[in-house]
Amino acid sequence: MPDILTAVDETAANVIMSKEISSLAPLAASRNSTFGPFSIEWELSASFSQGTIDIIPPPADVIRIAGVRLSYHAELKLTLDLGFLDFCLPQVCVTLPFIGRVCTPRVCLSFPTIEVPVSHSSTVDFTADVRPSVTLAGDEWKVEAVIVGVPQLVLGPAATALLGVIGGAVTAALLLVPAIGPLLALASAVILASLTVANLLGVLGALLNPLVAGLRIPLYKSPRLFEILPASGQDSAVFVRLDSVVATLDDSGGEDELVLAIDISS
Amino acid sequence: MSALDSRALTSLDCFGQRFSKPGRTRYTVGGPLAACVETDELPFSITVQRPGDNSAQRQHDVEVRQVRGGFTVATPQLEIAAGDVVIWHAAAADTPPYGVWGLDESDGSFSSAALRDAAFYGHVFGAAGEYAWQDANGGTACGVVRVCDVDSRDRKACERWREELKQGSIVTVEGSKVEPAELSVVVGQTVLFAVAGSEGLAITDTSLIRLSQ
Repeated sequence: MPDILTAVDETAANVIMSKEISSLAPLAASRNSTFGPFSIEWELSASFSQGTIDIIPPPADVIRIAGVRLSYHAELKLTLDLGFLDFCLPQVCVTLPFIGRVCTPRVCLSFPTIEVPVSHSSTVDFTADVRPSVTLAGDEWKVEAVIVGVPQLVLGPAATALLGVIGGAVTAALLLVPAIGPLLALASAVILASLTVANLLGVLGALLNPLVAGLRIPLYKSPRLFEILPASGQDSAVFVRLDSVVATLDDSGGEDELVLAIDISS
Repeated sequence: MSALDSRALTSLDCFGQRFSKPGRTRYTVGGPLAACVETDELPFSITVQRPGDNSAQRQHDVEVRQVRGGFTVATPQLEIAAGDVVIWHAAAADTPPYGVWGLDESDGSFSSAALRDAAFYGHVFGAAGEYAWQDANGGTACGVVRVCDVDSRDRKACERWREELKQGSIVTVEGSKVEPAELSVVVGQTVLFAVAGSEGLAITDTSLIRLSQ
Protein backbone atom coordinates (compact mmCIF):
# COMPACT_ATOMS: atom_id res chain seq x y z
CA MET A 1 0.00 0.00 0.00
CA PRO A 2 1.57 3.33 -1.03
CA ASP A 3 1.99 6.12 1.46
CA ILE A 4 0.02 8.60 -0.63
CA LEU A 5 -2.68 7.73 -3.11
CA THR A 6 -4.19 10.49 -5.19
CA ALA A 7 -6.69 10.08 -8.02
CA VAL A 8 -8.09 12.25 -10.76
CA ASP A 9 -11.38 11.31 -12.37
CA GLU A 10 -12.35 12.05 -15.95
CA THR A 11 -14.11 15.30 -15.09
CA ALA A 12 -11.05 16.68 -13.33
CA ALA A 13 -8.75 15.21 -15.98
CA ASN A 14 -10.68 17.10 -18.66
CA VAL A 15 -10.14 20.37 -16.80
CA ILE A 16 -6.47 19.72 -16.10
CA MET A 17 -5.48 18.33 -19.47
CA SER A 18 -7.39 20.89 -21.57
CA LYS A 19 -5.62 23.62 -19.66
CA GLU A 20 -2.25 21.93 -20.02
CA ILE A 21 -2.74 21.26 -23.74
CA SER A 22 -3.57 24.92 -24.36
CA SER A 23 -0.58 26.02 -22.28
CA LEU A 24 1.94 24.02 -24.27
CA ALA A 25 4.58 26.24 -25.82
CA PRO A 26 4.23 26.56 -29.61
CA LEU A 27 6.29 24.02 -31.48
CA ALA A 28 8.35 24.78 -34.56
CA ALA A 29 9.59 22.77 -37.51
CA SER A 30 11.36 23.57 -40.75
CA ARG A 31 12.14 21.68 -43.90
CA ASN A 32 13.31 22.18 -47.47
CA SER A 33 11.61 20.37 -50.31
CA THR A 34 11.98 20.39 -54.08
CA PHE A 35 9.27 19.85 -56.65
CA GLY A 36 10.20 20.11 -60.33
CA PRO A 37 11.46 23.60 -61.13
CA PHE A 38 11.09 24.99 -57.66
CA SER A 39 12.11 24.47 -54.10
CA ILE A 40 10.25 25.40 -50.96
CA GLU A 41 11.62 26.45 -47.58
CA TRP A 42 9.07 25.72 -44.90
CA GLU A 43 8.97 27.38 -41.48
CA LEU A 44 6.09 26.08 -39.44
CA SER A 45 4.83 26.82 -35.94
CA ALA A 46 2.07 24.86 -34.26
CA SER A 47 0.03 24.90 -31.08
CA PHE A 48 -2.60 22.60 -29.60
CA SER A 49 -5.96 23.20 -27.94
CA GLN A 50 -9.21 21.54 -26.89
CA GLY A 51 -9.62 17.78 -26.57
CA THR A 52 -12.00 15.58 -24.58
CA ILE A 53 -10.51 13.07 -22.17
CA ASP A 54 -11.58 9.47 -21.85
CA ILE A 55 -9.62 7.42 -19.32
CA ILE A 56 -9.55 3.79 -20.46
CA PRO A 57 -8.03 1.46 -17.84
CA PRO A 58 -6.29 -1.84 -18.73
CA PRO A 59 -6.26 -3.78 -20.89
CA ALA A 60 -6.34 -0.75 -23.29
CA ASP A 61 -4.56 1.29 -20.62
CA VAL A 62 -4.64 4.64 -22.41
CA ILE A 63 -6.06 8.11 -22.00
CA ARG A 64 -7.88 8.90 -25.23
CA ILE A 65 -7.98 12.60 -26.12
CA ALA A 66 -10.55 13.19 -28.83
CA GLY A 67 -10.80 16.39 -30.86
CA VAL A 68 -7.38 17.82 -30.18
CA ARG A 69 -7.03 20.86 -32.38
CA LEU A 70 -3.64 21.42 -33.98
CA SER A 71 -3.40 25.01 -35.22
CA TYR A 72 -0.43 25.76 -37.42
CA HIS A 73 1.00 28.64 -39.37
CA ALA A 74 3.37 27.99 -42.23
CA GLU A 75 5.68 30.56 -43.84
CA LEU A 76 6.81 29.24 -47.18
CA LYS A 77 9.49 30.71 -49.40
CA LEU A 78 9.13 29.31 -52.89
CA THR A 79 12.16 29.67 -55.12
CA LEU A 80 11.10 29.19 -58.68
CA ASP A 81 13.75 28.77 -61.38
CA LEU A 82 12.05 29.81 -64.59
CA GLY A 83 15.07 28.92 -66.74
CA PHE A 84 13.12 26.05 -68.24
CA LEU A 85 11.06 28.64 -70.10
CA ASP A 86 13.99 30.30 -71.90
CA PHE A 87 12.92 30.86 -75.46
CA CYS A 88 13.89 32.91 -78.53
CA LEU A 89 11.25 34.49 -80.71
CA PRO A 90 12.02 34.23 -84.43
CA GLN A 91 13.25 37.35 -86.21
CA VAL A 92 10.61 39.08 -88.24
CA CYS A 93 11.62 40.57 -91.60
CA VAL A 94 9.14 42.82 -93.36
CA THR A 95 9.08 45.66 -95.82
CA LEU A 96 7.65 48.71 -94.13
CA PRO A 97 6.10 51.59 -96.02
CA PHE A 98 8.14 54.85 -95.72
CA ILE A 99 11.08 52.90 -94.34
CA GLY A 100 12.01 49.86 -96.39
CA ARG A 101 13.09 46.36 -95.53
CA VAL A 102 13.80 45.76 -91.85
CA CYS A 103 14.36 42.77 -89.64
CA THR A 104 13.47 43.02 -85.98
CA PRO A 105 16.29 42.31 -83.53
CA ARG A 106 16.31 38.81 -82.15
CA VAL A 107 14.27 38.70 -78.96
CA CYS A 108 15.41 35.99 -76.56
CA LEU A 109 13.41 35.58 -73.44
CA SER A 110 15.64 34.57 -70.55
CA PHE A 111 13.73 34.03 -67.37
CA PRO A 112 14.99 34.67 -63.85
CA THR A 113 14.68 32.78 -60.60
CA ILE A 114 11.91 34.34 -58.59
CA GLU A 115 11.04 34.05 -54.92
CA VAL A 116 7.44 33.87 -53.84
CA PRO A 117 6.54 34.17 -50.16
CA VAL A 118 3.40 32.36 -49.07
CA SER A 119 1.71 32.40 -45.67
CA HIS A 120 -0.79 29.75 -44.74
CA SER A 121 -2.65 29.00 -41.52
CA SER A 122 -4.95 26.10 -40.87
CA THR A 123 -6.16 23.66 -38.24
CA VAL A 124 -6.45 19.90 -38.13
CA ASP A 125 -8.35 17.92 -35.49
CA PHE A 126 -7.18 14.50 -34.38
CA THR A 127 -7.64 11.87 -31.71
CA ALA A 128 -4.62 10.74 -29.76
CA ASP A 129 -4.00 7.98 -27.24
CA VAL A 130 -1.61 8.94 -24.47
CA ARG A 131 -0.20 7.06 -21.53
CA PRO A 132 1.19 8.49 -18.29
CA SER A 133 4.94 8.49 -18.07
CA VAL A 134 6.80 9.16 -14.81
CA THR A 135 10.36 10.46 -14.79
CA LEU A 136 12.69 11.75 -12.14
CA ALA A 137 14.67 14.53 -13.69
CA GLY A 138 17.24 15.85 -11.30
CA ASP A 139 15.33 16.52 -8.12
CA GLU A 140 11.93 16.75 -9.71
CA TRP A 141 9.29 14.14 -10.36
CA LYS A 142 7.37 14.64 -13.57
CA VAL A 143 4.23 12.90 -14.71
CA GLU A 144 3.46 13.53 -18.38
CA ALA A 145 1.00 12.13 -20.87
CA VAL A 146 3.00 10.77 -23.79
CA ILE A 147 1.56 9.94 -27.20
CA VAL A 148 1.18 6.24 -27.92
CA GLY A 149 1.74 5.69 -31.64
CA VAL A 150 1.28 8.40 -34.26
CA PRO A 151 -2.28 9.61 -34.67
CA GLN A 152 -3.76 9.86 -38.14
CA LEU A 153 -3.76 13.50 -39.27
CA VAL A 154 -6.31 14.23 -41.98
CA LEU A 155 -4.38 16.84 -43.93
CA GLY A 156 -6.06 16.50 -47.33
CA PRO A 157 -8.27 19.60 -47.03
CA ALA A 158 -5.36 21.65 -45.67
CA ALA A 159 -3.09 20.51 -48.52
CA THR A 160 -5.77 21.35 -51.09
CA ALA A 161 -6.22 24.82 -49.58
CA LEU A 162 -2.46 25.35 -49.48
CA LEU A 163 -2.16 24.33 -53.14
CA GLY A 164 -4.75 27.00 -53.97
CA VAL A 165 -2.85 29.64 -52.00
CA ILE A 166 0.45 28.69 -53.65
CA GLY A 167 -1.15 28.61 -57.11
CA GLY A 168 -2.55 32.12 -56.62
CA ALA A 169 0.72 33.51 -55.29
CA VAL A 170 2.79 31.92 -58.08
CA THR A 171 0.43 33.18 -60.78
CA ALA A 172 0.57 36.69 -59.34
CA ALA A 173 4.36 36.52 -59.24
CA LEU A 174 4.58 35.18 -62.79
CA LEU A 175 2.53 38.10 -64.08
CA LEU A 176 5.28 40.42 -62.88
CA VAL A 177 8.04 38.57 -64.75
CA PRO A 178 9.10 40.64 -67.76
CA ALA A 179 8.13 39.06 -71.07
CA ILE A 180 6.46 36.04 -69.53
CA GLY A 181 3.29 36.68 -71.50
CA PRO A 182 3.70 34.25 -74.41
CA LEU A 183 4.69 31.50 -72.02
CA LEU A 184 2.46 32.28 -69.07
CA ALA A 185 0.03 29.46 -69.78
CA LEU A 186 2.87 26.98 -70.30
CA ALA A 187 4.67 28.12 -67.14
CA SER A 188 1.54 27.78 -65.06
CA ALA A 189 0.85 24.33 -66.50
CA VAL A 190 4.37 23.05 -65.75
CA ILE A 191 4.43 24.49 -62.26
CA LEU A 192 1.02 23.25 -61.28
CA ALA A 193 1.87 19.81 -62.68
CA SER A 194 4.97 19.74 -60.46
CA LEU A 195 3.06 20.68 -57.37
CA THR A 196 0.26 18.34 -56.39
CA VAL A 197 -1.90 17.85 -53.35
CA ALA A 198 -0.01 14.59 -52.79
CA ASN A 199 3.34 16.46 -52.74
CA LEU A 200 2.09 18.99 -50.23
CA LEU A 201 0.39 16.31 -48.21
CA GLY A 202 3.71 14.52 -47.91
CA VAL A 203 5.54 17.61 -46.69
CA LEU A 204 2.80 18.73 -44.31
CA GLY A 205 2.69 15.24 -42.87
CA ALA A 206 6.46 15.11 -42.51
CA LEU A 207 6.39 18.45 -40.66
CA LEU A 208 3.36 17.94 -38.46
CA ASN A 209 3.54 14.24 -37.60
CA PRO A 210 6.78 14.53 -35.59
CA LEU A 211 5.32 17.46 -33.65
CA VAL A 212 2.31 15.38 -32.70
CA ALA A 213 4.30 12.21 -32.13
CA GLY A 214 6.61 14.02 -29.74
CA LEU A 215 3.80 15.66 -27.81
CA ARG A 216 4.22 15.51 -24.01
CA ILE A 217 1.44 16.94 -21.85
CA PRO A 218 2.53 17.79 -18.29
CA LEU A 219 0.14 16.33 -15.70
CA TYR A 220 1.99 16.67 -12.42
CA LYS A 221 5.34 17.73 -11.13
CA SER A 222 6.78 17.91 -7.67
CA PRO A 223 10.20 18.40 -6.12
CA ARG A 224 11.65 15.21 -4.76
CA LEU A 225 11.94 16.88 -1.34
CA PHE A 226 8.37 17.88 -0.68
CA GLU A 227 7.56 20.51 1.92
CA ILE A 228 4.62 19.64 4.16
CA LEU A 229 3.19 22.64 5.93
CA PRO A 230 1.73 22.24 9.41
CA ALA A 231 -2.01 22.40 9.97
CA SER A 232 -1.48 24.97 12.75
CA GLY A 233 1.19 27.56 13.40
CA GLN A 234 2.63 25.71 16.40
CA ASP A 235 4.45 23.07 14.35
CA SER A 236 7.21 23.76 11.86
CA ALA A 237 7.18 22.63 8.24
CA VAL A 238 8.86 19.33 7.47
CA PHE A 239 10.31 17.92 4.27
CA VAL A 240 9.51 14.43 3.08
CA ARG A 241 11.29 12.66 0.32
CA LEU A 242 9.20 11.27 -2.54
CA ASP A 243 10.92 7.93 -3.12
CA SER A 244 8.71 6.69 -5.90
CA VAL A 245 5.83 7.92 -8.01
CA VAL A 246 3.73 5.48 -10.01
CA ALA A 247 0.94 6.58 -12.38
CA THR A 248 -1.73 4.11 -13.42
CA LEU A 249 -5.18 4.10 -14.93
CA ASP A 250 -7.65 2.41 -12.70
CA ASP A 251 -11.37 1.66 -12.46
CA SER A 252 -11.39 -0.42 -9.29
CA GLY A 253 -13.23 2.34 -7.44
CA GLY A 254 -16.10 2.18 -9.89
CA GLU A 255 -14.88 5.18 -11.85
CA ASP A 256 -12.17 5.58 -14.46
CA GLU A 257 -9.34 7.44 -12.82
CA LEU A 258 -5.74 8.46 -13.22
CA VAL A 259 -4.09 7.34 -10.00
CA LEU A 260 -0.76 8.47 -8.57
CA ALA A 261 0.76 6.19 -5.94
CA ILE A 262 3.59 7.86 -4.01
CA ASP A 263 5.95 6.37 -1.42
CA ILE A 264 7.68 8.77 0.92
CA SER A 265 10.38 8.73 3.56
CA SER A 266 11.48 11.42 5.99
CA MET B 1 4.40 42.82 -68.30
CA SER B 2 5.52 44.88 -71.30
CA ALA B 3 2.90 47.46 -72.20
CA LEU B 4 2.05 48.76 -75.63
CA ASP B 5 3.66 52.15 -75.26
CA SER B 6 6.23 53.64 -77.61
CA ARG B 7 7.16 56.11 -74.86
CA ALA B 8 8.44 53.32 -72.61
CA LEU B 9 10.33 50.71 -74.63
CA THR B 10 11.23 47.34 -73.13
CA SER B 11 12.98 44.20 -74.33
CA LEU B 12 9.81 43.27 -76.21
CA ASP B 13 9.89 46.54 -78.17
CA CYS B 14 12.04 48.14 -80.78
CA PHE B 15 12.13 51.59 -82.26
CA GLY B 16 13.42 52.32 -85.75
CA GLN B 17 14.20 55.51 -87.61
CA ARG B 18 15.23 55.98 -91.22
CA PHE B 19 17.76 58.78 -91.69
CA SER B 20 17.44 60.34 -95.14
CA LYS B 21 19.59 63.47 -94.95
CA PRO B 22 23.35 63.56 -94.51
CA GLY B 23 24.49 65.25 -91.31
CA ARG B 24 25.07 64.59 -87.65
CA THR B 25 22.37 63.67 -85.22
CA ARG B 26 22.92 63.54 -81.46
CA TYR B 27 20.65 61.62 -79.22
CA THR B 28 20.08 60.18 -75.77
CA VAL B 29 18.47 57.12 -74.33
CA GLY B 30 16.64 57.60 -71.07
CA GLY B 31 13.46 57.55 -69.09
CA PRO B 32 10.27 59.47 -69.83
CA LEU B 33 12.08 62.80 -69.53
CA ALA B 34 14.67 61.99 -72.19
CA ALA B 35 13.29 64.72 -74.43
CA CYS B 36 13.79 67.30 -71.67
CA VAL B 37 17.55 66.99 -71.32
CA GLU B 38 19.85 69.83 -72.32
CA THR B 39 21.14 69.69 -75.87
CA ASP B 40 24.71 69.31 -74.66
CA GLU B 41 23.66 66.22 -72.73
CA LEU B 42 23.07 64.16 -75.84
CA PRO B 43 25.92 61.69 -75.49
CA PHE B 44 25.43 59.51 -78.54
CA SER B 45 25.66 60.39 -82.20
CA ILE B 46 24.78 59.16 -85.64
CA THR B 47 26.74 60.53 -88.54
CA VAL B 48 24.84 60.19 -91.78
CA GLN B 49 27.05 60.14 -94.89
CA ARG B 50 26.00 60.61 -98.46
CA PRO B 51 25.18 57.21 -99.88
CA GLY B 52 27.41 55.63 -102.48
CA ASP B 53 26.12 55.32 -106.02
CA ASN B 54 25.17 51.67 -105.76
CA SER B 55 24.73 51.34 -102.03
CA ALA B 56 21.63 49.55 -100.82
CA GLN B 57 19.75 50.54 -97.70
CA ARG B 58 21.25 48.99 -94.60
CA GLN B 59 19.96 48.32 -91.13
CA HIS B 60 21.96 49.17 -88.00
CA ASP B 61 20.90 47.58 -84.73
CA VAL B 62 21.81 49.53 -81.60
CA GLU B 63 21.53 47.64 -78.36
CA VAL B 64 20.40 49.64 -75.35
CA ARG B 65 21.80 48.62 -71.98
CA GLN B 66 21.14 49.74 -68.49
CA VAL B 67 24.13 51.09 -66.59
CA ARG B 68 24.36 52.62 -63.15
CA GLY B 69 22.30 55.78 -63.20
CA GLY B 70 20.94 55.41 -66.69
CA PHE B 71 21.38 53.81 -70.06
CA THR B 72 24.08 53.38 -72.64
CA VAL B 73 24.20 51.98 -76.14
CA ALA B 74 26.50 49.40 -77.67
CA THR B 75 27.53 51.79 -80.46
CA PRO B 76 27.72 55.34 -79.03
CA GLN B 77 29.03 56.80 -82.29
CA LEU B 78 27.45 55.32 -85.35
CA GLU B 79 28.22 56.06 -88.98
CA ILE B 80 25.58 55.24 -91.54
CA ALA B 81 24.63 56.18 -95.07
CA ALA B 82 21.64 58.34 -95.91
CA GLY B 83 18.61 56.09 -96.31
CA ASP B 84 19.80 53.58 -93.71
CA VAL B 85 17.62 52.51 -90.82
CA VAL B 86 18.74 52.47 -87.18
CA ILE B 87 16.87 50.19 -84.79
CA TRP B 88 17.17 50.54 -81.02
CA HIS B 89 16.38 47.55 -78.85
CA ALA B 90 17.18 46.14 -75.41
CA ALA B 91 18.32 42.53 -75.24
CA ALA B 92 18.11 42.13 -71.48
CA ALA B 93 14.64 41.36 -70.19
CA ASP B 94 15.25 43.38 -67.03
CA THR B 95 16.08 46.59 -68.86
CA PRO B 96 13.85 49.32 -67.41
CA PRO B 97 11.52 51.15 -69.77
CA TYR B 98 13.40 53.69 -71.88
CA GLY B 99 12.89 56.17 -74.66
CA VAL B 100 15.10 57.47 -77.48
CA TRP B 101 15.24 61.16 -78.31
CA GLY B 102 17.53 62.95 -80.71
CA LEU B 103 18.20 66.22 -82.51
CA ASP B 104 19.88 66.82 -85.84
CA GLU B 105 21.89 69.83 -87.03
CA SER B 106 18.86 71.55 -88.53
CA ASP B 107 16.89 71.23 -85.27
CA GLY B 108 14.83 68.35 -86.61
CA SER B 109 14.12 65.83 -83.89
CA PHE B 110 13.24 62.19 -83.73
CA SER B 111 11.83 60.31 -80.78
CA SER B 112 10.25 57.02 -79.83
CA ALA B 113 7.79 59.07 -77.79
CA ALA B 114 6.84 61.23 -80.78
CA LEU B 115 7.06 59.23 -84.01
CA ARG B 116 7.07 61.57 -87.02
CA ASP B 117 8.48 60.54 -90.38
CA ALA B 118 9.96 57.25 -91.53
CA ALA B 119 9.86 55.88 -88.03
CA PHE B 120 8.49 52.65 -86.68
CA TYR B 121 7.66 51.10 -83.36
CA GLY B 122 7.68 47.31 -83.00
CA HIS B 123 5.97 45.54 -80.13
CA VAL B 124 5.75 41.85 -79.24
CA PHE B 125 2.33 41.19 -77.77
CA GLY B 126 3.10 39.05 -74.76
CA ALA B 127 -0.38 38.24 -73.53
CA ALA B 128 -3.70 37.46 -75.10
CA GLY B 129 -6.38 40.12 -75.07
CA GLU B 130 -7.74 43.12 -76.89
CA TYR B 131 -5.47 46.13 -76.98
CA ALA B 132 -7.02 49.43 -77.96
CA TRP B 133 -4.37 52.03 -78.69
CA GLN B 134 -4.35 55.74 -79.37
CA ASP B 135 -1.98 58.65 -79.62
CA ALA B 136 -0.88 59.64 -76.11
CA ASN B 137 0.22 63.00 -77.57
CA GLY B 138 -3.33 63.99 -78.43
CA GLY B 139 -3.54 63.00 -82.09
CA THR B 140 -6.57 61.23 -83.49
CA ALA B 141 -4.82 58.09 -84.76
CA CYS B 142 -6.08 54.99 -82.99
CA GLY B 143 -6.67 51.29 -83.49
CA VAL B 144 -7.20 47.89 -81.95
CA VAL B 145 -4.99 44.79 -81.83
CA ARG B 146 -6.61 41.52 -80.85
CA VAL B 147 -4.17 38.94 -79.52
CA CYS B 148 -5.24 35.29 -79.54
CA ASP B 149 -3.82 32.71 -77.15
CA VAL B 150 -2.15 29.46 -78.17
CA ASP B 151 -3.04 26.05 -76.79
CA SER B 152 0.40 24.85 -75.66
CA ARG B 153 -0.94 21.28 -75.19
CA ASP B 154 -1.79 20.92 -78.88
CA ARG B 155 1.33 20.15 -80.91
CA LYS B 156 -0.22 21.16 -84.23
CA ALA B 157 -1.47 24.40 -82.74
CA CYS B 158 2.03 25.04 -81.43
CA GLU B 159 3.56 24.39 -84.85
CA ARG B 160 1.10 26.83 -86.44
CA TRP B 161 1.91 29.32 -83.71
CA ARG B 162 5.66 29.10 -84.33
CA GLU B 163 5.09 29.74 -88.03
CA GLU B 164 2.84 32.69 -87.28
CA LEU B 165 5.50 34.19 -85.03
CA LYS B 166 7.73 34.58 -88.09
CA GLN B 167 5.12 36.71 -89.77
CA GLY B 168 5.18 40.31 -88.63
CA SER B 169 2.01 42.33 -88.86
CA ILE B 170 2.21 45.89 -90.13
CA VAL B 171 0.06 48.86 -89.19
CA THR B 172 0.62 51.96 -91.27
CA VAL B 173 -0.06 55.34 -89.70
CA GLU B 174 0.04 58.24 -92.13
CA GLY B 175 -1.06 61.41 -90.42
CA SER B 176 -4.27 60.37 -88.68
CA LYS B 177 -5.03 57.57 -91.14
CA VAL B 178 -4.46 54.09 -89.72
CA GLU B 179 -4.39 50.99 -91.92
CA PRO B 180 -5.56 48.51 -90.78
CA ALA B 181 -7.33 50.08 -87.82
CA GLU B 182 -8.02 46.62 -86.41
CA LEU B 183 -6.01 43.44 -86.71
CA SER B 184 -5.63 40.06 -85.05
CA VAL B 185 -2.34 38.39 -84.12
CA VAL B 186 -1.26 35.46 -81.98
CA VAL B 187 0.37 35.83 -78.60
CA GLY B 188 4.10 36.47 -78.99
CA GLN B 189 3.68 37.97 -82.45
CA THR B 190 5.32 41.25 -83.44
CA VAL B 191 3.31 44.19 -84.74
CA LEU B 192 5.23 46.97 -86.45
CA PHE B 193 3.67 50.41 -86.58
CA ALA B 194 5.17 52.36 -89.51
CA VAL B 195 4.65 56.10 -89.21
CA ALA B 196 4.88 59.00 -91.65
CA GLY B 197 3.44 62.51 -91.81
CA SER B 198 2.70 62.65 -88.12
CA GLU B 199 3.18 65.58 -85.79
CA GLY B 200 4.54 63.28 -83.14
CA LEU B 201 2.69 60.06 -82.44
CA ALA B 202 3.01 58.06 -79.21
CA ILE B 203 1.42 54.66 -79.76
CA THR B 204 0.02 53.85 -76.37
CA ASP B 205 -2.39 51.39 -74.84
CA THR B 206 -5.58 53.35 -74.20
CA SER B 207 -5.84 51.98 -70.66
CA LEU B 208 -2.49 53.59 -69.81
CA ILE B 209 -3.71 56.95 -71.06
CA ARG B 210 -6.85 56.64 -68.95
CA LEU B 211 -4.72 55.80 -65.94
CA SER B 212 -2.65 58.94 -66.33
CA GLN B 213 -5.70 61.19 -66.63
